[in-house]
Amino acid sequence: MAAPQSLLDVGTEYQYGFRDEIEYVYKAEKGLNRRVVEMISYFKNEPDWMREFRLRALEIFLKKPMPTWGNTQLLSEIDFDDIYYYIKPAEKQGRTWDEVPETIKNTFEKLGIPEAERKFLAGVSAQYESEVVYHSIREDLERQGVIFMDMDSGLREHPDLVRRWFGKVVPPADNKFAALNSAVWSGGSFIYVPPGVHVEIPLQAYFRINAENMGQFERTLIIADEGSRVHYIEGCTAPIYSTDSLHSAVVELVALKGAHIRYTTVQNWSKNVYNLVTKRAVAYEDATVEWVDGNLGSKLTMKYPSVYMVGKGARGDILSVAFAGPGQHQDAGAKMIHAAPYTTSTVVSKSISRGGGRTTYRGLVQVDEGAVGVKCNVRCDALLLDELSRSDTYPTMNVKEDDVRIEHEATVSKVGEEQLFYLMSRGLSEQEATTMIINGFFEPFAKELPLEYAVELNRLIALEMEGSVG
Amino acid sequence: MSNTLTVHNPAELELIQSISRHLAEPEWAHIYRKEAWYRFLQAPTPSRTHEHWRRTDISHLNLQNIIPALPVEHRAAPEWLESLMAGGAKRVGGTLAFVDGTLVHEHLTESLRKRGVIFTSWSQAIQQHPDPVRRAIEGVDYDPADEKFTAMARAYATGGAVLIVPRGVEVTLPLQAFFAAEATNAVFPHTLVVLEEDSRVTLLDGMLSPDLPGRAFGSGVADLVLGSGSELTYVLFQQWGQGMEYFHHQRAVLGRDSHLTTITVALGASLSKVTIESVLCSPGAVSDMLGVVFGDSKQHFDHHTVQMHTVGNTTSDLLFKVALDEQAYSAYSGLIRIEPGAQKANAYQRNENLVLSSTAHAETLPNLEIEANDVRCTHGATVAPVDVEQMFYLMSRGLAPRDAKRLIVEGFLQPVLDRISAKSLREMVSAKVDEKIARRRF
Repeated sequence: MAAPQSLLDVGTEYQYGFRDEIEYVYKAEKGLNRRVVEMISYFKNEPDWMREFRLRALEIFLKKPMPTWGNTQLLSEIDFDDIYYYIKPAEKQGRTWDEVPETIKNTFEKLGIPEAERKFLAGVSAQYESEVVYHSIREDLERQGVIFMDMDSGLREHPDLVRRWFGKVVPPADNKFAALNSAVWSGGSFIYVPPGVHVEIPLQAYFRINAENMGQFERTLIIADEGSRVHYIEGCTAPIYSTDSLHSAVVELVALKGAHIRYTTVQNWSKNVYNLVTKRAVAYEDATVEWVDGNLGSKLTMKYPSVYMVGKGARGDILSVAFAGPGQHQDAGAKMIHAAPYTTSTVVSKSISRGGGRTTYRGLVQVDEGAVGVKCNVRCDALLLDELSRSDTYPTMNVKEDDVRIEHEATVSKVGEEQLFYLMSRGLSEQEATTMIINGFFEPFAKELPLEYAVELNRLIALEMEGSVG
Repeated sequence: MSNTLTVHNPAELELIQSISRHLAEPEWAHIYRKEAWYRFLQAPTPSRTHEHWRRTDISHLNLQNIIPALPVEHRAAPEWLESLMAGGAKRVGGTLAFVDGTLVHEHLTESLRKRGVIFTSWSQAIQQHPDPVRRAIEGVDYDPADEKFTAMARAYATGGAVLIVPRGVEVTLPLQAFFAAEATNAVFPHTLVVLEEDSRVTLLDGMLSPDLPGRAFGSGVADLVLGSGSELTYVLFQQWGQGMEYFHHQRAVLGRDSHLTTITVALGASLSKVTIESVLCSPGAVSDMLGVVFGDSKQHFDHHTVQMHTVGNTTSDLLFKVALDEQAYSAYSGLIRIEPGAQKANAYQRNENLVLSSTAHAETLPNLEIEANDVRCTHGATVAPVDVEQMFYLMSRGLAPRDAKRLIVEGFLQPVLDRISAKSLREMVSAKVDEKIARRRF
């Protein structure tokens, strides 16, 4: 598929903005109430505990006030009554692309998913509106006991495992949008990797919103059992509409002793999508969780992936990259909770604002009592490409122990004139030189991306920007 | 005369009127006080749901019941204050001392007086030099987050210090103002500094008291106005005794090519919440902001700094050092804000926390809000214990562990204190810091 020429083009031309005419199997009424929640649960033929979980979450959602921080202006524009909370696009889920309805398959063809799957993915899940329409996993992984299915199937086929962990990492009362998701969740991925199994090739999920005023509320739960390894990638796109859609996911990761989870997101929603997501991981003894989080699209993103290090020697890494163009606000960040001794974490955040866009880094590093020997390093760099744009940095460090080492650094600057001069003296145009400098700024993120379907990102990303910063 | 007004309901205008009457304030000064008082009554009491107040719980305070002490006649400075003032008396250009809101000592060298320097109490300044004071307070701005407390301080201040340095006058000897508390349970320090064009001065505001038997309350406000080309070094030295809960807002407005150095030294009080704000609203302005906090027992410190760049070609540099022992708590939050269009602004912010015990608790929130692109803004924050290698080095040289630790803490804080260029002030403040460090057993 076509890649933009440079990062400067990102957001100016949104190539995934097409929409497709689909006949839905079922479309719930607009708005949110008890009936809608019960209907979703009924359609999915869920056990009682899940229906009660949903209804309890609905009450929490209705009771909790909207956040009083962040971009309250944009948040207040969300009309919860003007959203479809559940749309079922197809009768059944396909195991091969041929089983997927033609129109939906075409959408994913245009997005390049089947091709990517053939080339380098061990498993693929494709969600369209509220439901997963396609799902596959390589047989050898299945034989080793790896479970990779949509969350609804997970609940049906592995009720004990799901019940043990579902809503435990992110309880419904955590925040208003987690409560909303808990009430109306549908789709998402359920992954279990048995002890010692290394899934070397990434598993991927692709999320597509097609309908206008759609709310997508997928729910993902990944459990990596002792000593196992898994890499999960998600991508998201949506058509351009004049009205706004809401995407509010909850992602829960459990890395048991010695396990390693990497979770990569390439978020490229169209600019009419609110992306308000709760992502949290628990890392037990000697486990590692890495979040690689790229935010390019959406109108407003509020997302702060976090790692709760609850076992000795656990590790958390977050690499967050954000790009905000005109009309966009990327309010992203990271939370590192050190609740056990000898836990270590690093956060690297890179952001670029242009054309009046706004990027915000909002983060927390917390060291609880008794968590000795903790080390944490946070580094934020922001580039502002013009005088219309804005960059904020709001880190918080809360340390209740003395034997720790916490560092935070941040710089905000424009593209370095000396670098520009150097490159232009070598014959590059100003545009090319700027692009090159910006790509370098994003380099750490590029290195972490194994995905070919995100090749456009790799192009956006590749050089240096030292010198323009303090 | 009774020291404290017997007003049962402070929401009676009578209180404000009697303060004004007592100080024989002209109408305009009374209006200023009255407006502040109305604002105090109207402003909501901050709660922890407000970001700025999230880390300091004041729900136990009943602000409406706190009543200021009226000045009394013929009050003498207590001995401890006398000896402190006598210490560097020869190398000081002027001293003001207030005890419980009453002026007890006033001195300004003859040569400074002749050159037109005004350094006196609020009540005398408004009588003798109404015009410059009036002009300065017209520009007073109430920060919404701290309004309840700054308005209270402006409404209830009885003893305040006013310093006005005329155009082109360079005051070489430092000036000092002491606000002490002894018998009252509410103090309201108020400082107004106006530097006219190309003038230069160093001022120390000292907030002092012995340990207090019960709870005491204080709310202070300092307004610093720097004319173009002027240079001010302002030291806020806080060593309230145990029991004091102190709130303070310092706001400096920097004129063209002016240079402010503010040094905040916080050692005392059971609870303190302080905002240090520099508004760089003219090109060429430079604000150097330094701070030292040393806490022990269950002391609670909440410091907030603001580097507000409203125009371009302005520079700010901040270094805030916090050392915490026992169960002390410190929250440092800092904001660098670059307004749209403030190109070529240069801002730096650094907060270092030295944690000396596993029960101490440090929070740091260095924030940036940048709305111009041709700027250079950097911040850094660290939280760390005493470096074991430094300990090892000192101990290998024969120092006992506690002495080694003491030396490291001194070495950590000293670079900030060294920025107080006036020797007498530097020595006085350093001695107080060392005294507190020496008291620690480690």
